Amino acid sequence: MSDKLSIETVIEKGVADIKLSGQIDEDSDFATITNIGCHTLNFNFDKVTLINSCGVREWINYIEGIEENAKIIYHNCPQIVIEQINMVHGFIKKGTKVESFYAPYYSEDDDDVVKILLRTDEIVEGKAPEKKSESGEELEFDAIEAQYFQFISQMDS
Amino acid sequence: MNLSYLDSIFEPIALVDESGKLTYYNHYFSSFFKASPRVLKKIKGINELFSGFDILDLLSKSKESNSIQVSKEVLINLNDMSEYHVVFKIVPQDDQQYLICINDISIEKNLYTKYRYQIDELKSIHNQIIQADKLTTIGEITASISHEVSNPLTIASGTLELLKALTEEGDLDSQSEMINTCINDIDESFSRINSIIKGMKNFLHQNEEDHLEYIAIEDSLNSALNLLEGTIKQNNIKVTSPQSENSIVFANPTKLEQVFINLVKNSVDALSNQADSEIEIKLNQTNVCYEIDFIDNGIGINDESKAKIFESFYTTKDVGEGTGLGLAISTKIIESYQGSIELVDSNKGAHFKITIPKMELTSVSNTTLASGIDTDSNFLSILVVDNEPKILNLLNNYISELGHQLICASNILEAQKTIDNYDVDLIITDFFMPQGNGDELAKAIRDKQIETPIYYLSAKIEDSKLKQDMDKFNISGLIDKPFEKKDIEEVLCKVVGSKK
Repeated sequence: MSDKLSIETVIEKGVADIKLSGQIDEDSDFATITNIGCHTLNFNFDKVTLINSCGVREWINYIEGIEENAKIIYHNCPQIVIEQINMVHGFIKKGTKVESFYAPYYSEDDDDVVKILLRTDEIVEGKAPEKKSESGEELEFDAIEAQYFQFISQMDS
Repeated sequence: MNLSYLDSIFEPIALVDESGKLTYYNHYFSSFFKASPRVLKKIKGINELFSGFDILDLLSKSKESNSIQVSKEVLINLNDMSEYHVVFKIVPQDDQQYLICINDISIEKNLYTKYRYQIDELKSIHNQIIQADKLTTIGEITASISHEVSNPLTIASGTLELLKALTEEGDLDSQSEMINTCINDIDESFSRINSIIKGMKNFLHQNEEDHLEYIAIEDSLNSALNLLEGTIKQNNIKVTSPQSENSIVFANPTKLEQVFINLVKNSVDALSNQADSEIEIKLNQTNVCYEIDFIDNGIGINDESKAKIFESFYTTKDVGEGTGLGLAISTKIIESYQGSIELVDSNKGAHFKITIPKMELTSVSNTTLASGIDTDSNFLSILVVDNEPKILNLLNNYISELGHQLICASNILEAQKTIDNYDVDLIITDFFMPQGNGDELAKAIRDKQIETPIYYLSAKIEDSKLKQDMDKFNISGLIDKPFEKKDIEEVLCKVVGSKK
């Protein structure tokens, strides 16, 4: 069954909170969030389930159309979005901030990978912060730090 | 190998040993298989990352042949059950390792499927629009069609009354001439009604596919003018149409008729309430195309409309009087036959010119000769020369069903041009044709030392003439008209046999 993209937008005093749910692909339509005239746009990617190369193109086209001095902030980016941010130039426009994102951590006790929400400011000198499970077990960051956190240098540049 | 280069590549790449165990992978390999370094460290071989394709088999082929192996497009399932269409390429390295490159074509396949679906949908909608336009046209001319039908009905009714009176008088012998005249009048009246109804039915018939056939432009024009006869008479318009015969094109007859109806009807609408109204339809030809001009002496088209007149839904008529689709649809129809419709500058009235390729050009461009495809010795390319569209269509059907290819020419001049430019295996030519007979063609071919077998197609050629031409021009035989498929098949088998 197709998980078509849906967009919920709440605008208050020039700040738009935009929640994206579903797949970002060649069929995604961003018309409802184009030219909304807000100075700050908060994009919440928490419920995005897939983003393919066509979706990336659509997203970049949309982002490039946003006013130059608008503030763009990405929240709750899932791993699939982080991977695209790291791979594709233009996914983070100049001045865009990634506020928070999910990172994979491995629990040896459970032999399972959990996605933990991190804030970008928790990443110091490219190192993943230490995280523990509910039972107190120290979790292992389950990706290559230099590659996974590459987007942070894009934000700084 | 300098692996840092592989780290920069945007495709999943890995190095494996002979058993398929990973010795290196780039970042995109890990991303693609959604497997972290921890997971990749644990697996024994690359084959554990997916199912649906035996990568180890391809690896062993690469090893045995010490050559690059490329798989066909395959569908693989990753461990999280997601599916991807990929192509694998294995490149043996010097150090008994193998470079595995993975080309993910899932997006292309998905887009192609969507594209095909949307194209089919558009075609269906396009056909519906054409049908809607036809219904609108019929609706607009219904009043005059009713008038056209009621006229012969009135004649038939009145004549029947007369016939009744004559037969009641009793003396049939002395009235036989009058009775025959009445019967003929009634017959003509019903023929006229039948023709109008048939014309409407044919026009409205919805074609699911664009069925193409050889048709004479003059026949399509006459059908269109027939359907509009009532409207034209009501408006006192003088219409002159071409006197030529059998200018043959390869098109859908109903659609071509629709184009002509649209253009004539537009002229009729422009000429309403005008005295001395005229529509002139001319037919000319160049080397490769026919040009049909529709010229009226109406109010003409203003500059503003000229720029938009071919756009969909643009109309200068009042609401409810025109859909604005006629010219847009007509343009699409003609362009689908590699032709064009243009508005020609004119001092008075409107002048439209339709250009449409001659059937000779279409039939050559449709053949494998143009496409350069190799064919075996059982395959024949056959030139048929005939000025009758019905014969061309019949032969086209038979010859296609028998698995061969047909090129057509409607006269000996076009036939000679075709022969000068292309090799054909067989020539079937009508004998009696308006612009030169089959024997003139045969002489011209043999004068050029071309030995291609030639068959005459005729119902009226005398035995002595046939024998004479068999001796003089090495004519291979005669196909009698009317012919059946088996007659054609027999000839083709003979030619295939001698070709081998």
